[in-house]
Amino acid sequence: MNEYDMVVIGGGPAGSMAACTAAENGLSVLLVERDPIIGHPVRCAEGVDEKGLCEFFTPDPSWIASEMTGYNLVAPDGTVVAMNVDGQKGYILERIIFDRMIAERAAGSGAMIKTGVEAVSMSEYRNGLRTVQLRNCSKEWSAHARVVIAADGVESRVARWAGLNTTTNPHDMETCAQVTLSGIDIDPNSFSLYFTKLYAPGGYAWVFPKGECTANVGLGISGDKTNGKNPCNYLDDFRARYFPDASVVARTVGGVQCSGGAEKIFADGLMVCGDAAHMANPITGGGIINGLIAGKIAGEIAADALKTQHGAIEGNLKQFPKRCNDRFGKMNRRFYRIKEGIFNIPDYRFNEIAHEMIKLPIEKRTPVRVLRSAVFNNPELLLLLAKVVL
Amino acid sequence: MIEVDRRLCDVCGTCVAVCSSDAITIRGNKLVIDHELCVNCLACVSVCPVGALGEGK
Repeated sequence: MNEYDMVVIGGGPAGSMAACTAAENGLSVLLVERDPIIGHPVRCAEGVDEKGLCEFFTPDPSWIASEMTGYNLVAPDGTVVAMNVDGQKGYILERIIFDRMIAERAAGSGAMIKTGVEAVSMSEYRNGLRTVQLRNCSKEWSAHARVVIAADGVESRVARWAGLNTTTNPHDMETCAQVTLSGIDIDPNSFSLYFTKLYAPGGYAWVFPKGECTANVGLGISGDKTNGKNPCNYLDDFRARYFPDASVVARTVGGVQCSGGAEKIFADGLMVCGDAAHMANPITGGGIINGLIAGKIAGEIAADALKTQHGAIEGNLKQFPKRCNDRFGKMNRRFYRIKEGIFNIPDYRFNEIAHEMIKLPIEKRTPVRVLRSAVFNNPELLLLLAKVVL
Repeated sequence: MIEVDRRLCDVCGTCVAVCSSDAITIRGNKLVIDHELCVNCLACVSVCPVGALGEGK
C-alpha cells in the first residue's frame, strides 16, 4: 500500500524531469507538489539558453513567450553595450505552461502526480525504504519509497530531514523581486542586464522581454548587502529610473541560492535536485537547465539501480554527485569564485569597462572579454577564467 | 522574537533556506516560526524580499 519505487517532492522542472525519466524507465513514481497548481506561482525570470533547452525539448510556441537573439549589458552610468551572441539564441519561457508540460509528460509516462500535497516529515532509510509523511488539508498518510527525490526548491527541508546541510549563508542568497511590466518600449528580441550597486548591490537587474511591449523586470541583491532595504524597495527605485510610466501586470519575489552548489546532494535512498541542491549558476542565477539535467540523471540512476540490481540502490547513488559535477557542478564552483571576485568591483570600474567595450566591434564584445577586463589585476581569477572558457 | 507579518509575506521560502536552526516551516501555505528553535540570528530578516520578517515588539 502506498509503496513506490520513487517519491518525488516538488513539481518544478527538476522534480518533474526526475519523475518523467524514472517512469519512462518503468519505475512506479509518485510526485507531490505543495502548491495546488503545477507551475504556479511563478518565481522566476524565465530565461533559458537554446542549447540547454534543446537537450530536453523542442521549443514550442505554447510555452515560449519570446525568442532572444541579442542582449545588452548596461553600465551604472546608463551606457548600453550590445553584446556578441555568437549565433546563440535564448528564450523567455511561460513557466506556468512549461512546468505543466513537463509534469504532463511525467504523468503520460505513468507517474502519479498529486498537487496540494505537502511532505511534512521523512523517516530514516530502513530496509531499503524511506517513508514520507504527506498531508493534504487535514488528511495525513504515508508513502514508502525506495528512493526519494528532494526537488522542493529554495525552501527545501527534505534534504535536511536526511541530515544533509543545505542551509544557505545570507551572503550566497540572492534575494529577488520582479514585476512584469506592460506598455513599455523595448526591443522584444533582446534582453538587458544592469550592473550597478545603486539598484542591485551584489547582484544585477534584468529586463527579459515577453512580447512586443511586456517584460519581466527584476533584480537580485546579495542577502548581506541589503543596506536596510529589501529588493522590492530597490526595484521601485530601478523602475522609477528606467520605466516610470509602465503598468505592472504581475509581481513576484523569491530567493536564489548562488553558493555554487550544496556540499552533499545525496544520502541513503535520497537524491537532491535543482534549487534544493543550490544548482543554479551562481553568476546568472539561472537554474532551470541544471535542474532538468540533475532530474534526468537522478531518474536514470534510480531506474538503473532499481531495475538491474534488485533494489540495491545504495552504492549507485554515489554516481549522482559525480555525474552532476561533470555536467555543471565543477563549473558552478568556478563561477562562484569569479562571482565573488567581480561583485566587489566598484561602479566606476564597470563604467570604464563599458566605455572600453563600446569602442570594440560587436564581434569582440563577449562575456569573457568583459570578465577579463573586470579581473585584469587578479592573476588567480584570470587563470580561473581561462579554465572556465576551456 | 522574530515575527512574520502575514499581510506582507509571499511564502516564497527564501527565509527557510537561510535558517540554520531549522526554525521556519511552511505549513498550509503559511510561514510558521518555531520560537524554541530560533536563535535570533536575523538571517531570515536580511534576506526576506518583502521585509515581512522582523523582531516583534
